[in-house]
Amino acid sequence: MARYLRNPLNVAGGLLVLLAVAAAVLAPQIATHDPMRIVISDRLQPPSLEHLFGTDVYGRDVFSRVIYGSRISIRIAVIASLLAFTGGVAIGMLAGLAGGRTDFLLMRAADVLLAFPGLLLAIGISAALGTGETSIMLALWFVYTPRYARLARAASMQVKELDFVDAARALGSRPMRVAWHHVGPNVISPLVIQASVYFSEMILAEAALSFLGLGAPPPTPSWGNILSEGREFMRLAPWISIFPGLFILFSVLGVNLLGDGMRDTLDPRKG
Amino acid sequence: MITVIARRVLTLVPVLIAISFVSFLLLALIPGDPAVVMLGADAPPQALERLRAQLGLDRPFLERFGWWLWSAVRGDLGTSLYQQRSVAVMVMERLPVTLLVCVLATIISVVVGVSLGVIAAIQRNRLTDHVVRVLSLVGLSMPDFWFGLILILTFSIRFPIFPITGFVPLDRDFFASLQFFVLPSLALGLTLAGFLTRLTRASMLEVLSADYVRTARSKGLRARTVVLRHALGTALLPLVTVIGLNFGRLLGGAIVIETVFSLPGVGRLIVLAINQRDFPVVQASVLYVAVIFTIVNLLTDLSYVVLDPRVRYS
Amino acid sequence: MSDVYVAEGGFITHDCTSIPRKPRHTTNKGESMITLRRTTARRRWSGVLALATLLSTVFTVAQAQDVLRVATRLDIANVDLHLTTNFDDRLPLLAVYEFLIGIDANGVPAPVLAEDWVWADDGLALTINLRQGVMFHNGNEMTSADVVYSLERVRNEGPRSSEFNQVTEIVAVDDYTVEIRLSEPTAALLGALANPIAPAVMVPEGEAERQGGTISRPIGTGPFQFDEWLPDQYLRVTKFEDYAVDDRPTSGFAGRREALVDVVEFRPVTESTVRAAALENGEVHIASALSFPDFSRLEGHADVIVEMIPSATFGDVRFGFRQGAFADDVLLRRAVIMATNKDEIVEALTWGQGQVAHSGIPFFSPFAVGIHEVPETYDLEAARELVAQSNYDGQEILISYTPGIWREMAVIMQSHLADIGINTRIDSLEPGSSLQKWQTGAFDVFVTGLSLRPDPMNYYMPFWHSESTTTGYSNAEYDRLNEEALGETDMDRRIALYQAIEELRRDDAPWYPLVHTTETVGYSRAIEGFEPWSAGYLNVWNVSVP
Repeated sequence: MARYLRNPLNVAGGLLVLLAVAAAVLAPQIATHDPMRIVISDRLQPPSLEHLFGTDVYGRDVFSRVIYGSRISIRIAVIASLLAFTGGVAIGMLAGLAGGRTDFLLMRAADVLLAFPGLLLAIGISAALGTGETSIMLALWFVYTPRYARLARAASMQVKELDFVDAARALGSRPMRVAWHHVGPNVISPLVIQASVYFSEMILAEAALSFLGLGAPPPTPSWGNILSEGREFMRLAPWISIFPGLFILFSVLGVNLLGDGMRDTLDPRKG
Repeated sequence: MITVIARRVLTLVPVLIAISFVSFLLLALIPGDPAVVMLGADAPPQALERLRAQLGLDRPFLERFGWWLWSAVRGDLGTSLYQQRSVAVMVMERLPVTLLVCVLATIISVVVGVSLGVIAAIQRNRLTDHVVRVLSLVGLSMPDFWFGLILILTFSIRFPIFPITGFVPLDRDFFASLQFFVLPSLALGLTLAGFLTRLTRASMLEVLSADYVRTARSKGLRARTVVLRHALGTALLPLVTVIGLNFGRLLGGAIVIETVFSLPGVGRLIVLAINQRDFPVVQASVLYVAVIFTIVNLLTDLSYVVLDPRVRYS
Repeated sequence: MSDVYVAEGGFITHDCTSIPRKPRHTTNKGESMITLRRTTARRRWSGVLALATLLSTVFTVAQAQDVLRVATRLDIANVDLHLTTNFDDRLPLLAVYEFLIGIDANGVPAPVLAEDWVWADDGLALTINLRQGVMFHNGNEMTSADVVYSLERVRNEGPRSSEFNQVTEIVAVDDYTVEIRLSEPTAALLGALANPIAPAVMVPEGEAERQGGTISRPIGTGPFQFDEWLPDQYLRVTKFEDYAVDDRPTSGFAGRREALVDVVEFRPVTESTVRAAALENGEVHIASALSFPDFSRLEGHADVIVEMIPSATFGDVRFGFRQGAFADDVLLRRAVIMATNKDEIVEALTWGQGQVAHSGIPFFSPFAVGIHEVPETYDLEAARELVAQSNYDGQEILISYTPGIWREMAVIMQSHLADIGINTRIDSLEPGSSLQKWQTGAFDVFVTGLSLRPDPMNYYMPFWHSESTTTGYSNAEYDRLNEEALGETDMDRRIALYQAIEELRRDDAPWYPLVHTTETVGYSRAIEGFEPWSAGYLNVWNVSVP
């Protein structure tokens, strides 16, 4: 821990993530206005004391929208990450350790999902369930599970060949025990670092889906749809898109710095 | 090695059939069909029924998929419902556009990413390193469409250097066409460069701390020689795999970027075809993209075997 | 130094001290776009530009043609206009095809390929005399056989076939005379002929069969002929040399429509910002459907004119009668209408440039008198009262919409309904799913719009007559009044009937109009003869690129 805190960038990363999470959790306390309230006479106001980040085209307070937006954006990325991580690691380790036919079938299934255009999947799911949080999460889950699975498989295959695993096996440990105690930790730690990259990709994916009209439905704010709705006003009222953009930037920055720091601290090869 | 490749190519067949089936199923499940879109909001139900029958949409799902598969096996992917043209031709017209954007973006990301990554690694924990790390994260965290619009505002309006409409097909006038690829490739490539910078840096640091590099250094070789001759080569090996994996991401990113820049690539074709419910076009594009993706994937897998002797191919 | 642009805080302003000079950013004789965009103030880029110019002059084949370039919102999807009701299909293609009788600038039926027409005394036959010497793009002259063929195709296969229910027979009397016979008198026949939705345009006899059932290569009689459609890139039409010019005054689709340029290229560009940018830097001459920010940014621009005019299209809200809280609850429907602050919508969505829509027909229609001019009541107190009396028990209502500006109307509608305690959720769908919902009536309430149609029946009937399958609305009185208005040929009595119909619409409230949107078009100062039209179509005819 002390080693982790030594690098100021790591500390900054942790703080940024903490701030983003705090914004999401404490949104009702932090927000200065009702994020959905439309006041046409106040529209497109530049940032001021009354409206810290200005107002959007409906006169809604951009600050409050961005703060509330962090809830959805972070929730989508967190839940989708957890689902994809657990599913992917389980499938990948099973494939990597079992080998043979199981490995073959699982990886071909992963190939099908990987090669399938994620957008078509997103549209299909949105069309079936309506656009919204659940659909985005499901789509991200489907898209990222095979990626985690491939990484976990590759990592467990490498770990499997290592001497200490062979030793454990030779000493008569049961396969599950080997997987759980010996392979698992060595597979998961590099994946945790990769997770920070995928996490930020998911935040961006939510924005991209909003751009294509498949994001969180109006008037619910999310970083992605505030940014995407503000794009027409990029020159007339840049604050609408700058602030959610900055929030995306800082949270992604935070998560990645955190991941970097963890790599430096946890990397078993350096320990 | 050759048998390995042959086996993998053979296993492509069921994977592609499965992909086709999934996309066929998805298209059948999503509400709205070509008749609804073709005739528009004012169309009465009789006209819709007539068109559905004409298009064969009233047949059962499995029968339709069976027919599609049977024709596909014989090399006929069908014709677009909107233009009486072969969908294979339509996809092949657009595939070079998407591939070129992806390849250019890959080149940009490698050139920018690797050089910044190496610089950051050499200057570890100095100001340059921090600046590069933060810059790379800014690149990573910028939504593609947003960065694309900023590029348009800057390089097509503020400084009108690159045209934004009136795409010239590649085979008509290659150099005139190339102008339309600069900004989209930059938008995709620079956001990706952030990712590669980070990887290169991490990989370089690992190699620089390795024993043989220390040995080389202690033998009194100049720092630049050490970096270029010994460390860089080793550090780049894992990057090859990553670049392969990234290509898939690029294919996805291309959908958004092609929309922003009105580039007629496969990504946009898929979006349009889904919106229009032009089923044969969706099927064909999904198939082609899947083939490319799986080939890149196969190469990535093989590179594990080649680059990392510890991994046996099973 | 006339073309100096000073960037200030993100806005581009024109340097007023300079001497106005002919804008130089439009192309004529095949010069490359890049050479034309060079300006004195941009000298620092001249190196890059010179290289690019060199490349493009070396590799661009010079073409000595006047080209008019138009940026549209969406690509066309279907070139067989008889069969498609999509606006984006007919927008460019009505320069290729022509009506027998089309709408004029005010939406009133006027002769186009018809010389004139005569009604039989009993109102059971319409005799149409054709203009002579009208040529199709395939080189044949248009005669009555082609007209009969085209009208029969629209009547039998077109999506609007029900508008021709009273037609019993279409007969070629001689080469230049066609007679349409009716089973009973109807005032809507001219409207049915002139309706631009899945329009009754003229194609050569047997053309669809020659092309394999549907038309994939348009052949019409218009001032421009179809040249090439590269999906997602451009639709190119070229001047038709043998075009038979109509000498009557230009109005809408009627009158003189001449090709003054050699080529018109329609380029689909999805983003409004990008369309505006292409107009600004001279890549296109006309940019349609601009957003307000782009409009306000380009206002007063040295090289570009932007206009924002009230549109003939108005948004409207349609209650669902197959499902949902509104189906059997007239009080709740009335409450919603009463809670709708249309002035606010005009301000919010059209920036004050649109217009409140009071009734089910556009404000400029000859029928829009009396009750049609009376605003619907906006009264929150009364609306809350009505909600209290209704069966509404707080359940969540789903607002569906057609993607586009109607999504914004849905957002505002949601806030209006929140004012009177109605819970709503916006049902955000991609276009295909949204259309499907509409077609099957699977919605609580649907926000969408009505584009310009020639006759009041085209507004009141298609979706609310009990034979319609979309909304599921069924009201014997509404049916009876509409059928009577359809069969009535006396203008005064028709006007009176549409008063009654509008009153019934307000009373039973199956749907209600919101606001007229705006047509926001930008065009280069270098082109001549372009005039924005409230109907939203772009007149690429009569436009020259000097």
